[in-house]
Amino acid sequence: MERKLNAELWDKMHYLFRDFNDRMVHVELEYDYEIDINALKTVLICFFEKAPVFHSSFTDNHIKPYWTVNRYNIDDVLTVKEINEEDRAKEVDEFLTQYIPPEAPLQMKVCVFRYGGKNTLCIVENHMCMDGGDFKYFMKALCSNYNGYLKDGVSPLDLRQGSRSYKTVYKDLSKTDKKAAESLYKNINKKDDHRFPFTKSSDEDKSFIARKVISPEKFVKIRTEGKKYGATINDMLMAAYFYSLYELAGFDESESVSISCAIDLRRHIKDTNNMGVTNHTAWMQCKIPELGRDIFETLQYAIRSANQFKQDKYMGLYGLPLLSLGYKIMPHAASEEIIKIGYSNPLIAMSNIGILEVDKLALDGHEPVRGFMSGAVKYKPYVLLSATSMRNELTLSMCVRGNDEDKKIVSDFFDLMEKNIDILIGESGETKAE
Amino acid sequence: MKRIMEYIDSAFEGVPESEVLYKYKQKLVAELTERANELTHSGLDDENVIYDLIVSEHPDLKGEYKELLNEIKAKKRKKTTFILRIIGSVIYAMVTVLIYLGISFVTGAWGRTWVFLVSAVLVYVSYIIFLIVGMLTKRRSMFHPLSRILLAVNVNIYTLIVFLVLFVVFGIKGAWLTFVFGVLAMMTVDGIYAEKAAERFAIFFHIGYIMPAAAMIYIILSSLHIVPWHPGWIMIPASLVIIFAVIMVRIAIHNKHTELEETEDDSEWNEN
Repeated sequence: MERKLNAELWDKMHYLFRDFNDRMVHVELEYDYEIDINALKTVLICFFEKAPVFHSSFTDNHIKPYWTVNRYNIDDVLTVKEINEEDRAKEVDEFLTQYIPPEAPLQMKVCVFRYGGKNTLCIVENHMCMDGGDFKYFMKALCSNYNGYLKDGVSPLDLRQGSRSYKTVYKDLSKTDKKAAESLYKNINKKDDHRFPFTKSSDEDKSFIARKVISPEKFVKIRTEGKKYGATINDMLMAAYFYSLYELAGFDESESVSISCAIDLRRHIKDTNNMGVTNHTAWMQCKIPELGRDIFETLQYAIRSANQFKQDKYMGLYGLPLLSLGYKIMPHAASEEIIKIGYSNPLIAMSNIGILEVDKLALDGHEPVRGFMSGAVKYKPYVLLSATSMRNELTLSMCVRGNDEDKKIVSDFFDLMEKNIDILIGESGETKAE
Repeated sequence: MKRIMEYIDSAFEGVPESEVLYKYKQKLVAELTERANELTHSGLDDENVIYDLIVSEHPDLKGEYKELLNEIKAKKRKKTTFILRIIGSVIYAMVTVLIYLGISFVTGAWGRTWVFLVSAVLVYVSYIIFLIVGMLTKRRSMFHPLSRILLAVNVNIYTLIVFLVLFVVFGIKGAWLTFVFGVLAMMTVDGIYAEKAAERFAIFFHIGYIMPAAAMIYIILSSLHIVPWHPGWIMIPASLVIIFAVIMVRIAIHNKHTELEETEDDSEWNEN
């Protein structure tokens, strides 16, 4: 008998984002080690069985969309490719920029690239199934289950299972807070028309992932110098992002600009044990009133804006009941149209994915030497800056569908980011204006 | 396959054999074997993992069996209840008619005894409405407004019965007050339902009902000469004090709840 899964609120929302991005989440981990393919296959099958949404196809039913669980063969999920080391970057990018349609029978693709005794593990998955937060958890669980299976023959079944509903964000709130949070119909994110200065979209545009690695020395300084200003790493990156944007796009210095920063709604959940892998992400719209006299003033604006959100105990929970109501009271096709009118997808955004912990991502005792994770490929003019760190090395990445000129623009943007980070951490010789 | 059979057998050790259990075990064997085949088809060739995965999907076979037994019982109970309701309804109708005829023939007050017959029919209608309300309340909150309307209808049914008894049977002229009391009862019942069903905006109903309820109480008490019409009307504006008190209590309850512990601002980077 055909097995169907409920399409949760965020599944539907990410489906609605099809006009803004390709909904793929990417991870790349490089190992100085040959991965045991059979063991990896075993772990993946077990995980797919634990989270059937990965081998399901989405049906855009006009009344009520749903997932249909499909039979699959692991060889359709996992590919092993022998390559030359010099082709690695090209091959990896080609794999990572692929698009998995929601109607496809599988929602995750895995590839192991093998070259000269080294392996690069790449995974692409549909954001409708899970967000960066759970993808990070998935990767750690994958590695620990792989290790347990390889070393002690323990069946790799240790993946969280349970509800994928957005409502689990309310489960650990007090009764009154829950009631209040469930009444937060207001959408607090305002529309901002400032855009990243990409070229115009064309049919020849291709997906690409641009990366910038910030050295461990600088990353450590971002943290330590940030503390002096009362800023988190996120605030520091945000300030550099703002400043670079004004410089790159030539926004008027007196103009107010906003950048939406992804927030993990799991901060409201105390126990995630009985939850399935899913999406629990919202946006925090950081807004600065003007550029500021220098980047340090921009930083203060960014801190102030972020703190306003952090002081709110319902951070990120605004608008969820409205979305839920929208989907509940109308057929899906109608609710999509209504939500599209009311929901403004941020044009400029940042996703602070955080640390990729090498000890937890080690395979058979071999820690990854490099790696990063990034959000979906955005369609112009939308842009998302993803930030991950590994071994204190910060990787900034942008997945864009564009042309060579856009690549150049992103590259210039990254240079500006590094320059502004240098100023913030006092490596450029520029000092704070008094 | 052998291990799966053993797992099934060991799970039901000590459970008395029965036809239901036999059929259930057969169904389980077929299901779990099919599952094992499905996993093999997916590319899983480690038998231990297949076994562990299947067991992890059915960690409590005894519990599943108990659930099945409960389902069977529930189905039987539902069927019995349905039959009992039909028999009960027929008996109720017959007894009602018999009592009506008995009272009417004995007293000869045909002009008043019809109230009994009408009331009995209304009580039956009210019973049906209660069953529907119970069913709707268990469903999603979008059905609650319908439940509340039906409850209001029910309150009106009883108001009508009381009015008929007081006016037709006892000839009390002030029986019209029953309808004023009925409005009061309707608001009270609705308020209680909103609270019990944890309606999201229950507080607004409570607040909204207080002043009209005060007006109804004022009319009843003044009509019965328990309080004078003047200055008894003060009850209505005085209800504002109760409204204020309700709001204050609700705010106090809201503020009393502890705040949720929030994670560190920089949690994503803390371990670096």
